[in-house]
Amino acid sequence: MSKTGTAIPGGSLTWPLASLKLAFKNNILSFGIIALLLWVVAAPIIMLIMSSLREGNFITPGAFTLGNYRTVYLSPMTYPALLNTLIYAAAVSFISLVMATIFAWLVERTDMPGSDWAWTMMLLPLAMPGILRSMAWILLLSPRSGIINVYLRDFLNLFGLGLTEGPFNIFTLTGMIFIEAVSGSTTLFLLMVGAFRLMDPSMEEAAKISGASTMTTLRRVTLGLMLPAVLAAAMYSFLGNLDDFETPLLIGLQAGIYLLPTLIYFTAYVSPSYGLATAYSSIFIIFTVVMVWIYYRVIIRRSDRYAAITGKGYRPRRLSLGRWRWPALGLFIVFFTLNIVLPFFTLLWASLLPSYMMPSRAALQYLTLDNFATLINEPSIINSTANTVILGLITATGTMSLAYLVSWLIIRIKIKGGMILDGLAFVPHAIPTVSISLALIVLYLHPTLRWIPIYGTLWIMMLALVTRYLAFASRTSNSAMTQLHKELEEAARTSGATRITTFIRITFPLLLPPFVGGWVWVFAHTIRSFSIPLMLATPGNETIAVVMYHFWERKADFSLASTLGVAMLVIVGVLTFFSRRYISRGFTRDQ
Amino acid sequence: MKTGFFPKLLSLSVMGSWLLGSYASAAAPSPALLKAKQEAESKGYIFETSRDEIIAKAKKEGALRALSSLERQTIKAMAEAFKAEYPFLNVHVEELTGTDANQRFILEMKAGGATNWDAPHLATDHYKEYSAHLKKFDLLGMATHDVLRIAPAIIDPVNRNVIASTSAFQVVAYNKKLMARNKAPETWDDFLKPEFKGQKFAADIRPTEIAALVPAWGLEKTLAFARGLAAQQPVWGRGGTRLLTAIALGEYSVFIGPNYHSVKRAQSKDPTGSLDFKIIEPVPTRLSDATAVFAAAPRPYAALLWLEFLASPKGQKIADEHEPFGASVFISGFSQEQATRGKKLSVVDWNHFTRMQEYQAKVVEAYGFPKAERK
Repeated sequence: MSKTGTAIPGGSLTWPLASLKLAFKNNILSFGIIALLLWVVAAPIIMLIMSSLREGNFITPGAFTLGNYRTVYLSPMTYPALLNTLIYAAAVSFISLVMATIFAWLVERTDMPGSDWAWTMMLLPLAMPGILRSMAWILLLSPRSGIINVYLRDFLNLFGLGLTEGPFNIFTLTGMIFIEAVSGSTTLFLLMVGAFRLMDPSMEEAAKISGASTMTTLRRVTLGLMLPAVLAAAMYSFLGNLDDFETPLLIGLQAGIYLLPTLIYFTAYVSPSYGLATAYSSIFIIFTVVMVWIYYRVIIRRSDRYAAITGKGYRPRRLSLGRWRWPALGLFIVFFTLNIVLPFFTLLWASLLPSYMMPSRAALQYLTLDNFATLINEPSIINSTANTVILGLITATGTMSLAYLVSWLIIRIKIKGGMILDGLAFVPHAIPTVSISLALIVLYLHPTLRWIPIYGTLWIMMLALVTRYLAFASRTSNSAMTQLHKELEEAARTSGATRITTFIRITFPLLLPPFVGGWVWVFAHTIRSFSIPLMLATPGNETIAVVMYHFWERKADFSLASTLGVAMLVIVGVLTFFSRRYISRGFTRDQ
Repeated sequence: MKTGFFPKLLSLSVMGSWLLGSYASAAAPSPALLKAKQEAESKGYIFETSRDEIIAKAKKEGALRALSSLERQTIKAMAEAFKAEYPFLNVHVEELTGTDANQRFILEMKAGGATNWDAPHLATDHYKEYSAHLKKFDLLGMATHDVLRIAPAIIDPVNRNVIASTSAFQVVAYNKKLMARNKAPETWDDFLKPEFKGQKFAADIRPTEIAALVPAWGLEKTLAFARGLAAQQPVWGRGGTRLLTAIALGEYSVFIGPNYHSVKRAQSKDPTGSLDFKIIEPVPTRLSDATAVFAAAPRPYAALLWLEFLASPKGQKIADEHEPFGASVFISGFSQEQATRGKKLSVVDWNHFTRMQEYQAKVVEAYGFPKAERK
């Protein structure tokens, strides 16, 4: 940043004094952002550490001990489970990242037909609660009664193949990887799509002019520029898949495949020992720290290398796929069918029956809207829907804003200790949700903090959810900010704008597309979020998740739970459709 | 424990208490009642000798705020019926259920933040945590002397100030299109027969039903049975929703240990009629919906009436109709008692509440799941 002139325009102070004042102001802002970050993440981190060093549990903590760490790191069970987990997480992350990158590229950077629709469709899976998705796949691919298997067997039997089970079996490692890779690709799509949208196409055009084919351009230019986003997405995905819980428990258990989260479940939750559970989390935190270090060394310290949005004619244009346009759309439709159509129609079918049965002509006589009537008559449905929407709005806005401010400090201001700040923003991804919730309860029930009246309100849930989703948001903002060359901001500063004005009027508007993408992700995850509202909701501020719990866990009623899942999908589908129209009108410059 | 005699005794005591209640509440305290009061007070308990006085005090309090682990529609019906019984009370009852919410409430209670509740629900997993925060009403003494119309069997005999107004028991569910009734297991040991080896039945990894056999069998026999089950290589799953759906669909034929009320509800919604169940002895039975009066309750006497109402025939009828099938197995004339009448029960009662986690942990260990052990 250059300092020219001897006076602040419009001011009377000479520059050394003005510079001091400016530095002070900037430091206040920096300290404010750091304080905000610490406020959000410190309590859960401290709670995690304290819990891992104590016997007993959160309710009745016992003596301090290193026994939990000894148990975790010396147990012969830990390492085989960790190896399985690493294989699983690597496979899921790789496949979902490849799919996400291909579809983000097709949607944002090519002339694939129907890309606007495709964008909207990619967001739909976000609204489907994980437990319902896994259940839907079990109903589709169970060896004996899975819908696909039954129909396929009927078809194969026409050719004399007398199969009684299969041919597919979801209860395998392949089945687990398939479910998670397909659903995980949506999140990674959002991480990638913003980055593709921000990319300056001039380098691709230069490659084309130099005679490179579309594939060579994609491989050597496009993906090279995408490295910050790819690495951010890979980090996020890998860590998320390390502590993936629902699928390993629902599917892996039956397949006899034990991953680290399964081991934690049997060690710590079936016979409660939060000390052991949190000590196990230290494994995930080690991975987190290593990944943050790599990201910092490879990307952030050399961020200028990846800056693609400069002051020189930033104007994203789409590549022509030529004769591959329609096959590309076909590929997307196959993916969309697997990701949404099949699970969604399984849930829709379940929601229209008193209790689930195989789709057949005979079953049609039982079709009913009773489950929807029950849902509408659920006493707290209106209140919990309103709470959920409010919570989604404030959480998404709060999370993305904080992430952008932190990324601004790390990447733009290059504040000392930026790697620590980045680590702080990412570490919550490795903290069990229960630790986040309990930490906030303990903190805000403490007599010294009673003056902050957020306990028992939506605000405490918002804080917990911001902590939970900050890792995703900060990956989005880091990769987006890395792609924005600082010359645009320098021009603004040279013209006399303050850092805050520059951020608000230059940086932020340019980075709005990934902000909106991240916002939609956080919003969708907030409204389907299960464990934090269950822990922190007090009478009167329940969310839809509490209603879902009621249907799934207490009534053991898959049809009712599916009805709520269908309703959530439809609502989010409508919202994302309209938000997509808004986004495409506002920010895709070639339209 | 054979229940043939026990329910009759309870039934008589409940009916008797209702008949005698009005007399006892109107008359001057008998010497026996005064003696019971004196004894209770010497141990630090609060003992009221007149139901009318309790009602009068509740009337002055004018309201009730309670927490319950019953289902929402049951709570709604229960609160409305209670309000109809005591129209002078402004009644507000909220649901509190699930491990997470219970943990939150305990932390809130310990921090002194749950001061506006009169009658909290107590999570049995953390039963010991509550005792210091509960009002020491001698419910057992007052029930025994007909001051309160509560069946003594549903009151904690040691702490004397907690009731468990409902219960749950476990059954064996099966798909009758895949397995004839006479082929389904008749005893728990039938699961260990060769015909059930090799993914022939489904079992929940959270072994509530097996751990609940400890009161009848003792720990050693239960663990030996758990090891035998694991050797049969069942289909392991988690949760009734997933496994009951799979049984109804015909993916598996038998499921060991779902809740009776979950199976009954699924059965009532299953138009194909493929789901059926058997009650196997000893029947794993758990007391539930433990409720007491909060030490800091602003309206303790309204809370006493609420506890009494939960245990009353009216309250039990509502639990049976709305929960559904939730009335206590210890109260005669309702679904659970009828279904288990004459059968041997294995009751996870007040003595076993606090040890259930330990039992479950040991059963999981016996199943042979990978588990890190603290040295």
